[in-house]
Amino acid sequence: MLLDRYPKEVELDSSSRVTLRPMIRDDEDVILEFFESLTEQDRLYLRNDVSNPWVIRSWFENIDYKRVFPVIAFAGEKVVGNATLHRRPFSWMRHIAEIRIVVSPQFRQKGLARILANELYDNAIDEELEKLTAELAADQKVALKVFSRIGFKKESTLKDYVLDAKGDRHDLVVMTMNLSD
Amino acid sequence: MDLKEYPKETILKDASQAILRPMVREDQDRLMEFFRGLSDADRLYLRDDVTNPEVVRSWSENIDYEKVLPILAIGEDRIVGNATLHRNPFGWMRHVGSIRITVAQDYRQKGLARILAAEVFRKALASGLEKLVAEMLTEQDDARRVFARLGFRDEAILKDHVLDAKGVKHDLLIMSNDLNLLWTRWMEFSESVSGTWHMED
Repeated sequence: MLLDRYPKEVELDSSSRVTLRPMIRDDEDVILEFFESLTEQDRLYLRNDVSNPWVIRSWFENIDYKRVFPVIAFAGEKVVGNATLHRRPFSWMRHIAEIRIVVSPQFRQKGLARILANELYDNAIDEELEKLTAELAADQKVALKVFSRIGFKKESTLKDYVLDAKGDRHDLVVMTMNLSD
Repeated sequence: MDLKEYPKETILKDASQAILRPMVREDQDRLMEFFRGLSDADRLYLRDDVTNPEVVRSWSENIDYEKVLPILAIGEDRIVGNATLHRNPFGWMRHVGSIRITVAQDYRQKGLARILAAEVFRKALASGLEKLVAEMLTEQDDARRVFARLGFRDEAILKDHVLDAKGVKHDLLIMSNDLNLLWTRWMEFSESVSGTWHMED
C-alpha cells in the first residue's frame, strides 16, 4: 500500500484547500465531531448508525488498512470528508472493494467526493483489485449521479434493503465499476 | 438473543442424533477439523478461506451473537454441520439477515441442512428481522433449488463477484425472501416433504 503519498494537499476552488490522509487512531474525536455536524437529512441514509458512539469506537479499535482503508479530508483541523474502501480479504470477494463517501454540507459541489473517490480508486489499483462497488439508497439522486459520473454503472436493485434512520424502507442500488478492463 | 433452548437434540432421517447449540470459543479446533474434512470441491465455493487458521480463529475469538449467530450440529462428538445468521444491528440493513449453511459430507441427505435452516429462520424471526438473504454462485444448482423450495426468489446477479479458491470468477446470485412469508411456507414444506437435499456438494 502506497502511504507515502500522504498527506496530500488539494485545491478545491480559489477559497478552499483540503489535506487528505489515511485515518489514524487519534482521529476518533474529530471524526465524531464530523458525524455530529451532519444534518438529520444527511444521516438518514448513512449505512451505519453514527450517532451511536460504539459504532465509531469500533472503527478505531480495529484499524486495518487491508480491510478498511479510510481517507479523511481536513480543512484546517476540521474533518470535511470521509471516504472508506471496504474489503473482505480471505473471502470469495477478495477481488472486490466497496466505496463509501461522506462529505460535509459546506464542502459539497466542490468536487471533493470525486477527489476522495479517486484516492480510493488509486488504492484499489495498487492493491490489484478488480471491481469496485457502491451501495446507495434509490432516492439518493445526487450520490447516484456523482458515482455514475465517476464511471460506476448500476448493476442491480435490491428491494427494500435499506431501512433509513426514520424507519422507512428504500430499494438499494448496487453500482459497480470494473477495474480490470 | 435468547438462546436458553440450547443445547437441544434433533433426530435425523436415518434415526441418528445430533445436538444443536451455538458455537463457543472452545469450538475453534473442532471447527477447523470440520472445515478440513470438507472435500476440495466443497471448499471451492465457500465464502471464506476456511483453510486459513487465522480466519477460523478470528471467528471463534470474536463471537458476538448479535452480529453472527453460529449454530453447530454435533454428531458423534464432532461438528457435522454449521449454520450462521449474519446481521449488522446498527446499519441500514439492520432488518436484513443473511444465512449460510455447510454440512459435512457424511451427514448429507439426512435433512440436517433443513433442520439448521429452521433454527436460523426462527432466530431471525425472533430478533425482528424482516428479510433473509442467501448468496451463492449461479451454478450452485442444488443450493438454488433448496432455497427456492423454501420460498427464496432470485433477486439479483452480480457479475464476476465471486473468485473461487482456484481463482476462477463466477457470478453471484442473491436470493431473498420475506421472513414472515417464508415462515409460513416453511411450515407447509416441513409438513409435506420429508426432504432429501443437501448443499454445497
